[in-house]
Amino acid sequence: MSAKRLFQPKPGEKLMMALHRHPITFLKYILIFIVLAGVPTFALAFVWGADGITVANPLGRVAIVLLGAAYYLGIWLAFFTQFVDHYLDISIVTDHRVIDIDQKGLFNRAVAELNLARIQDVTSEVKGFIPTVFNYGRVTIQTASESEHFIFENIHRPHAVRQRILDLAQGDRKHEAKEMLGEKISGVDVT
Amino acid sequence: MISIVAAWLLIPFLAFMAFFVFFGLVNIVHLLHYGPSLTLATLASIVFVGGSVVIIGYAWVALLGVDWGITYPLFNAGVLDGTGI
Repeated sequence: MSAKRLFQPKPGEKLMMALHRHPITFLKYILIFIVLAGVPTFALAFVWGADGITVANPLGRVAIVLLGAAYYLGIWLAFFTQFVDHYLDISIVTDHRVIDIDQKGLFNRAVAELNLARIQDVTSEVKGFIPTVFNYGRVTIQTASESEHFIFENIHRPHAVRQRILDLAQGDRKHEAKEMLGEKISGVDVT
Repeated sequence: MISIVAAWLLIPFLAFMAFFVFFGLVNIVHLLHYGPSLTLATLASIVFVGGSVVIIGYAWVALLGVDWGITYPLFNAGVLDGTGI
């Protein structure tokens, strides 16, 4: 899986899931971009009428072209920034831990990690018409600590993800218990 | 009559371009460095740069005939003091 380049696996650790936000949640930004891209055309047609744009002052023509270029470059940059923000939000689930990478704007990136064995409760929620149709929603992971919880927003198939995380957490707890038992047995003095 | 040299209009535009290039590069570096798929990150960066080149290209072509050294009237100050239109 391509998400492997985002984290350093421990010996024997396997990547189980890489969770992205559902692509449909990016659709609103595409629509906003299309509307903003169409605004100058409609505005100019409204101001100058249907006969076309005629600017007598050559300086006015230069100013309009430069302003137009700056406007389109501005909304193009905003759209790209939104894409980067959307694309870099990722949650990784291995057979031992959960890693949540959250990109908040350009200069704020948070990475949090949680051992699967510490998970107490996992809840999933699909709320609203569009999320129900496209099957995406929120998964919340609760640990023993009251304040510590992970929230995966707008991920695809949240109920299946919740079940998978619960299964992995149970497996990890068994694995840890076996290791602890093994250590105790090997620590017993038989002489 | 208040007049300015056409090239002066390029100053705010170039300031904006500096802002655009800086934030565009930050985005691309973020994408290539932290993106889960290098192929998709590269593709998205190429699309962004391509789109930017198209917009700048359109502006460039639209301004090809402009003589940047010529002074153009900005607006007629006579309108304000009542000496003329």
